[in-house]
Amino acid sequence: MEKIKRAVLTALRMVVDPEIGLDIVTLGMIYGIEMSPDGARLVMTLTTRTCPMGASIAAMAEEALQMALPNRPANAVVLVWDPPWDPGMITPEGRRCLRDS
Amino acid sequence: MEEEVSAPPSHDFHRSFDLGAREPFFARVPDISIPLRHFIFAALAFWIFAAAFAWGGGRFFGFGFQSLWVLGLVHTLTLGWVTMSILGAMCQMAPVLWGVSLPHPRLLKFAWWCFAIGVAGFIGHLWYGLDNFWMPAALAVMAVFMYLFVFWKAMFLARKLDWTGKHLALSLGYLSILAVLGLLLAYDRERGILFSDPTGVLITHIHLALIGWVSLSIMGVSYRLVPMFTLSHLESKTPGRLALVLVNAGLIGLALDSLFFGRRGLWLWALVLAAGYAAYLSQMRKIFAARNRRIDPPLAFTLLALLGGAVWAALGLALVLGLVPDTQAMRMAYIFAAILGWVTPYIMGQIHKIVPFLVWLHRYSPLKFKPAPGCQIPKIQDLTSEKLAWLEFFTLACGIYVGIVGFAAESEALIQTSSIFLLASATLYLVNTGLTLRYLRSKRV
Repeated sequence: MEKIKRAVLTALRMVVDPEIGLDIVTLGMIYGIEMSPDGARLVMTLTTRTCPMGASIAAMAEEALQMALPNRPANAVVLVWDPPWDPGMITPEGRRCLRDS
Repeated sequence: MEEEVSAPPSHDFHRSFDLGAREPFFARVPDISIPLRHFIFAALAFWIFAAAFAWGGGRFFGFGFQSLWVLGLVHTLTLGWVTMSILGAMCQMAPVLWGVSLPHPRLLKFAWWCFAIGVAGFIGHLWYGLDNFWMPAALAVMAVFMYLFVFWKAMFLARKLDWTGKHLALSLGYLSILAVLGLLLAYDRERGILFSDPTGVLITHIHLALIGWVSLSIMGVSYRLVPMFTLSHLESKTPGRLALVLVNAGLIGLALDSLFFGRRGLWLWALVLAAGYAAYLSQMRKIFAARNRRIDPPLAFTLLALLGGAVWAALGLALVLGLVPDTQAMRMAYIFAAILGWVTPYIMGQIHKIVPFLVWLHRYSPLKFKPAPGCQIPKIQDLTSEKLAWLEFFTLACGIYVGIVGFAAESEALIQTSSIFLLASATLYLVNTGLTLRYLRSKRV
């Protein structure tokens, strides 16, 4: 199971927020991956509820999930707003990238 | 790597998620042509202003605000550049902020045509010295009320207005009053029958425009966009709330004093307004202090605008307190600091984010096309030239401060130098906007 989760996370690292330029795992937007025999339920958030990129980022995350776990009927992306995202959730490495790039 | 873009997929992207039970973003935002036509007109108007300013060179001293040449220049900026940009940004932002679709998109397109023709006609009449310039002004005012109808209806349909929405609601209210006052001033200029004190009405019109309409829009939008672009977490809104109260109190006091009480208390209202701006600066300082990103060109433009606003407020205070001579040239320096020092860098900074974002969303969003394997979707900043943006920034900064000093010192040489910097900046801005828009038609990634 852990191996599959790692594969999902690796795929999600390819989903880059086009405005910020960092992937959604580094940005701390992934709140959880709930595994079941039929697929994975990805629980994630966005930087803000009114993020105009929201639909695009969620669509990319869904593509990544399908790529990591192909043909699983229960694959799903769930957007949640609690707790709200804040910049403190960015990994230290991500923060360094943002300041330097 | 260059890959052919594949055909757009069908819109079944909401099969496993929804954005808080709201309509999909694409269903809410207006057609891309609506905001873009505003931004393109605005960029051209800014360039025309800069070219006319450069062509005019030293033709500023000895002219008052009532000279048709200066009125034409000022309105090219305030209507063609500033108001057109803000209306375009509102068309894009309102559905996102208020969570509703903008009603009557065809009316918006019609309003744009009326406004564009009205503004072009009004400025043309002023520059060619034609009579009845109130007629094209009336067309522009009619268009403004069409926009107001659409925005007010959208606000009415919104479940609640957030902090930015409240700023925009107030700024639209001020826009309605200043548009009517402007039309009456245009009508009265040729007849001189409506106002016993046209200067008081002119001061009210100018400040309702620069503070009520433009500054409140900028302040409201900056509380939303700047934390998003700096990746800051806004802990306290107290200085911003104080700024909202002080700016409104100062503006209403200034308007009533100018219209009905002979401008006896202008110093008081100027102090209240300056205090309001200081509170706004304090709020922005908190946002920038908590930032998690480097200063890129759009953020640098925002910082330049904050500095320009401080210079504008200081010049206003100095004028009413008698610390500088109250000459026509000093008043020009005051207006120049407001429109070019405060408003213009802010608009340029935000448009450098908004236009590439719009192009990305409508051209590269994965909801619109699927990239082929091995081909990454470009980032938003890839759609604009950062080098050109920095050049725009430095030429604009030079143009602003050489110009303010030039007006204050009544130096034709400095004004001419300033105008060359501004023309360079406006040209670079136009080129950079064109480079971004080119991606809309691009067949390749």
